Amino acid sequence: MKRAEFEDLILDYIENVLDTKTRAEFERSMAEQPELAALFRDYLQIMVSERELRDLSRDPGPAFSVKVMDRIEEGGAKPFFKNWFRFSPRLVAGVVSVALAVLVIREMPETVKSPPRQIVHEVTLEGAAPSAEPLPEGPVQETPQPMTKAESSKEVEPKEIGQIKRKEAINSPKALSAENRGKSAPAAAPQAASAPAAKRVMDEEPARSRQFEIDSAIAGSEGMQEQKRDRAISAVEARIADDEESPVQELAAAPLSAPTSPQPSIQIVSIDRGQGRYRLTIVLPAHAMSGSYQLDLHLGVFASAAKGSRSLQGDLTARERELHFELMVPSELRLSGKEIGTFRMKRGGSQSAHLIRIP
Amino acid sequence: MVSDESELSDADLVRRIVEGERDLFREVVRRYQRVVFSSISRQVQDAAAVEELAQETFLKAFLALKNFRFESTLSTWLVRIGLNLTSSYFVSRRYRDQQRFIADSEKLERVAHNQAATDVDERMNSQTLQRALTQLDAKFHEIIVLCALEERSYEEAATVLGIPIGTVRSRLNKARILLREILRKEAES
Repeated sequence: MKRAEFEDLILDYIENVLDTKTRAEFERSMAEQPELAALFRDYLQIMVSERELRDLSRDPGPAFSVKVMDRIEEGGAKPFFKNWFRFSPRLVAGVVSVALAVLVIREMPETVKSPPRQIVHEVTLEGAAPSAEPLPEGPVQETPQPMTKAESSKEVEPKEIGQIKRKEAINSPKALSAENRGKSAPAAAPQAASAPAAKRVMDEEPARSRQFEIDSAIAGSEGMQEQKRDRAISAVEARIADDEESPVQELAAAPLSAPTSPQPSIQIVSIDRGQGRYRLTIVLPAHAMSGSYQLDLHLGVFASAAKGSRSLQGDLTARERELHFELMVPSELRLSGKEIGTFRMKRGGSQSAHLIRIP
Repeated sequence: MVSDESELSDADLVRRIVEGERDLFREVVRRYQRVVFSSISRQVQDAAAVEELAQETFLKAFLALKNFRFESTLSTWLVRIGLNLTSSYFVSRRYRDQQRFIADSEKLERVAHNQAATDVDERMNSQTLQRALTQLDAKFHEIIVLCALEERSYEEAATVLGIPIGTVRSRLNKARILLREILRKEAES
C-alpha cells in the first residue's frame, strides 16, 4: 500500500469501518514499512493529546454574562439603533455628503461680491410690443425699440451694449413721450426741453450723456410718485456705474420652438445681488389673449423658489400682460452665462417656449 | 420572569430579542456561554484572549441575530461565529507577537537545560498541540476543534461547516496528518 493511500485509510482503520481485505492490507503495510508504522503511532498520539486538550476547556466566570450585556449596552445597541432615525448609516452618510457639498459650493467666493444695489436691465425680443405704460412696481424707465432676433442673440461687447442702451434710451418712444409729457410737468420741463441738446452733448462727452440719461429717466418718471422717481434715478445711476465696472448683464431669450405667435418681452426689473433677489417681469405681447403662461427655472435645487405659472382669462389689460416673478437664489450663485429657465406660453392650440439666458 | 425566560425556546427567545426585548439576550448568553467559552479555550491558551473572544462571539451574534434563520441550531451558529473569530485571532498581530515571545522563551529554556526534543511523542503536550493547531489552515483547524475537541458528531460538524459528512471525515484525517508534519518540523528545528 502506498503512503498516500495508507494516510487516507488511517481514520477508517481506527474507526473500524474498513472491510476485512483492506484492513488486512493496511496492517500488512504497517508491518512491512516502518515509516507507515511511525505515522500510525504519531496519529494515535495526536488523538490522545486531543483528549488532553479537550479537558483544558475553561468555564466562564460568573460575571461573564454581565460583561457581555454591558458591552451590548455600550456599543452593541447597533442592531436596533442601526437605523438612525429609520435611515441606514450609508444613506445618512450620503445625505450628509451631499449637504456638505452644497455648503462648500455655497461658500465658494464669487470673484467680487458687489454690495446690494438696484440695476435696471431689459431686453425686448422680436415681435414684442413696447409697453407705453410705466410698470406698476420697480424702477423700469425705458423700453427700447424691439430688437431683431439676430440682435438679441448676437454677442455684443459690453461697452457696445452700454452705448446701444444709451442710444435706445434717447430714441425710445418712452423717452420721447416723456419729453412731451414733460411739457405739462413744470418740475421736469427744463430737463425734458433740453433733451435734443443733451443728445448732441452725449455724442461728444460720455459723462454728460450719463447725466442726460438720468435726466431722461427723471422725465420719464414724471407720472410717478416722488419716491419712485428717486428709485429710478438711483437705478439708472447704478446701471451706469455697472457699465464702467463690469459687463452689463443682459437677459437673452431665444425661442425653443419656432413660435407662430409674437414673442413676449422679458425684463429683469431689478437685481438685488446682495440678497440674491431677482425680480423678473415678463411682458406679454400687446394682443395677448387668455391662456396659460409658465416660467420654469433650470436652477436645480433652487428652481422651486422661482417656478411660477399664470393662467389668464379674457382680454388682457396692459397691467395683466405683465407677469411678475420673483426669484430668490443664493447670492453666491453666478447666473452669468447661464440659461436660467424657460418661459412657456399656451394659447389656444399654439404653444411656444422661450429660453431665458443671462449672458 | 427568570423562569419564563428559561422556559422559552431558542426560536421564541430570538424572535423576542429581535422584536426589541434586548434583555432576553442575557438568557442566550446564559445558555450557551459554556459551549462558546470551551470551544474557544480549546484553541486559545491565553485566558484573557479566550474571554475576549467569547464576548466578541456573543456581541457578533447579538448584532446579527435578526439575520439568524434557524437553518442550524443556535448553539451551532454561535460556535461557528466563535470559530471564525478564533481564526481571525490566530492571524492577528497580537497573537503572532505573543507566539514569538513564547517560542523564544521555550528556546531559551531548552538551551538552559541542554535538551533537544526530537520525537513527536516527547514534544507532544497540550500546549504544543495547541500551537500546532494554529498553524493549520482554518478549515483543518476548525475540523479538529469541532470533531476532536468539541466531540461533535460528524453530522453536527457537517452542519456547522456546511460540508458533506464524507468531507468532514477526510478533512479530519488530513488535519491530523498535517498536525504530525508540523510537530515533526518543530522537533527537527
